[in-house]
Amino acid sequence: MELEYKKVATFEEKSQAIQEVFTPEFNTHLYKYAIIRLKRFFNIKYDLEKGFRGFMIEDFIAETIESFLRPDGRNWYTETYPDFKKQFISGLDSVIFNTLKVELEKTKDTFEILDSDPDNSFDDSDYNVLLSACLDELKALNATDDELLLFEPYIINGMKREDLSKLLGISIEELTNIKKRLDRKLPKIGEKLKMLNYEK
Amino acid sequence: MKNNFIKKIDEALINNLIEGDCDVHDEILNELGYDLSSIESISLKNYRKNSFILKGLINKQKDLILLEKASTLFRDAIEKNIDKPISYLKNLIANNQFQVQYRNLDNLGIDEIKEIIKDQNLLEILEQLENDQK
Repeated sequence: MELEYKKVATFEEKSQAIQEVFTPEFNTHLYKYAIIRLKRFFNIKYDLEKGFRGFMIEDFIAETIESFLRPDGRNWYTETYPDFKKQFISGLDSVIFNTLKVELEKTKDTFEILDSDPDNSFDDSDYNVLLSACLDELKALNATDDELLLFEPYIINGMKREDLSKLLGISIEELTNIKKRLDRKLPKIGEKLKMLNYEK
Repeated sequence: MKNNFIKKIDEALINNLIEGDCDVHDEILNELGYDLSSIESISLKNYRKNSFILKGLINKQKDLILLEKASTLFRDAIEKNIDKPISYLKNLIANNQFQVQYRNLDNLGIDEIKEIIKDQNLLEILEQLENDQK
């Protein structure tokens, strides 16, 4: 069996990357992200002053930092996540999940966004049902034809802006504006999908 | 399958954050009843604390790496019977009060060497050891 080789950053590379990305702005983004994640995945309304049962978001962030820097700590797979911010957010997800899973029985219904389940392939029949459900919800949210057109290639298939611009004959600026409008509708689509019962 | 779709949607939202665009998250937080200025003020306050922790962790880890490297070089020097590092180590032992007396350097393990040199200027020691071994 052939072993898969994943390039892992050294301590120096990790510490340099953390120092570069960990700015006040990024910290605020992480804070906002964590509040939303707690609500969406654990149904926890985070209290800015008291936290949740003594757990504070700043501690989750500190623990994520520490997890990358301690000996035998979390790895940074530089090829999978060339942008360290994404690896950091994945680390924060894990810290939140691992901390809360012992607190909440509800965590059995949650899952990791980035690290787990490398298989992102789709089965055709399910794919079409889910895509229709997403498009129906988008229509219900008054999405424009452009937003409907963009949803599948941009959000689900992860096509790059430059490629889409060429393919659809839309400027990158226009594409960015359409995506911004589309992005605002994504949380509601996510909620709708979570309520679909055809798959457990 | 359903989770894959949700993942894709979450990734799209995360990509916004990575690009520095917080608009969607701000809208969600507004809908949840949060005051954005309070979040920003709390996160800024905590940024200073976590920034301090970050620097401390990096320095501590760097020290551990230096200590590991210096101890290994001392161990090699003992095995190869190189005079200068051995004398230096003997001096350290003689000038310090250790709970355990290290009479025979040949029996010193890496952890014991670490204990002896941990409070010294490790960068200076490393430079010296590397010169001695040339």
